[in-house]
Amino acid sequence: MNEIIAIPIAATLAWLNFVIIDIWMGLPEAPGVRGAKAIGKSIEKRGGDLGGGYFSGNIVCSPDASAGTLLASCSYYGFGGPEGGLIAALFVYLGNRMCADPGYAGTTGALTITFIIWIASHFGITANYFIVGIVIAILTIQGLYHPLSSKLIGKMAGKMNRKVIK
Amino acid sequence: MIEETIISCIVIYMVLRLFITQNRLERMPYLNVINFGVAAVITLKNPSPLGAIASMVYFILATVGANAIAFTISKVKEIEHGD
Amino acid sequence: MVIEFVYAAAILMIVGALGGVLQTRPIDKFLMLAVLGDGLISIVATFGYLDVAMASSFMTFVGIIIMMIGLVRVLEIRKMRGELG
Repeated sequence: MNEIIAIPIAATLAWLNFVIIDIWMGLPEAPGVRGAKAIGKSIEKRGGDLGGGYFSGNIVCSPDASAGTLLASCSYYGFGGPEGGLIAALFVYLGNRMCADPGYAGTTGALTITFIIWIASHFGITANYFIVGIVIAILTIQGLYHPLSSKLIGKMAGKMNRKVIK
Repeated sequence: MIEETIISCIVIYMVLRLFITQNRLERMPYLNVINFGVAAVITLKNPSPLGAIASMVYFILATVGANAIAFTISKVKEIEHGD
Repeated sequence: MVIEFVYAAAILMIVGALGGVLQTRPIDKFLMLAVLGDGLISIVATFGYLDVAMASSFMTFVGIIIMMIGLVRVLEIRKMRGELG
């Protein structure tokens, strides 16, 4: 498929996958580790939303659905089939154990994006477009302007009923 | 290929932004985007199972390293300003 | 026009080294050291030496973690003795 059409579609699918699964797993509610709390408070001090700040902090400090999406896309591309996604889910599970994080956001994200890539590859969007897509998606959340993106995450978290736990 | 161009531009923009900002905790998300970019390039240039495994090893270790840096930044802030 | 990743990795390494020289506090120097390590690992992997990249990524990040633990201990001992500030 033409790259100019395929890369934005893959970026949108990767963005939706990791944001929805992370918010559903409760990432904006509480910081998992101490570094995430520091990053969240820093984003709030600069004018952002605290839930969105904890979301960004949890993405930086421990493997979550964004890591699962990236590693599952890389594995799917490297192994040439869906078995790569399962191997990536195993690695993300080991990474979660190393960070002492009891959540399963990473493995869930890896398995769902494997399914999405398997379906999209029948339409011509191969796995390498998803690799570029997840990098573009994480740039929009963490690289452009933190207060605005954290407010967007806070609004989506409010709609899915995941408020900050005091 | 266009994928390599896009990721190279993103990495160069992030590293220049990281060099310019003064706030330590604002630099951590930029470092995370750089980790994503490097992990993606390792697989894109070596499309084989070993490339995928190298990318996975690099990314998990880089996330644990960024966790250590963020923890230390918060501890240094607490030791110097709080307590 | 294709911008190869080798140029981005070279900029990563140069900015990491310059940042490590120009920053004054140790904690900022370690962040720039992480950027330098990223650039080095990526350029080794781009040229095809994947096992070297895996080994050097292991050593770089375990080294950063151990240095962080050491930095926190040094600062706590200095504060306890009253030499801080």
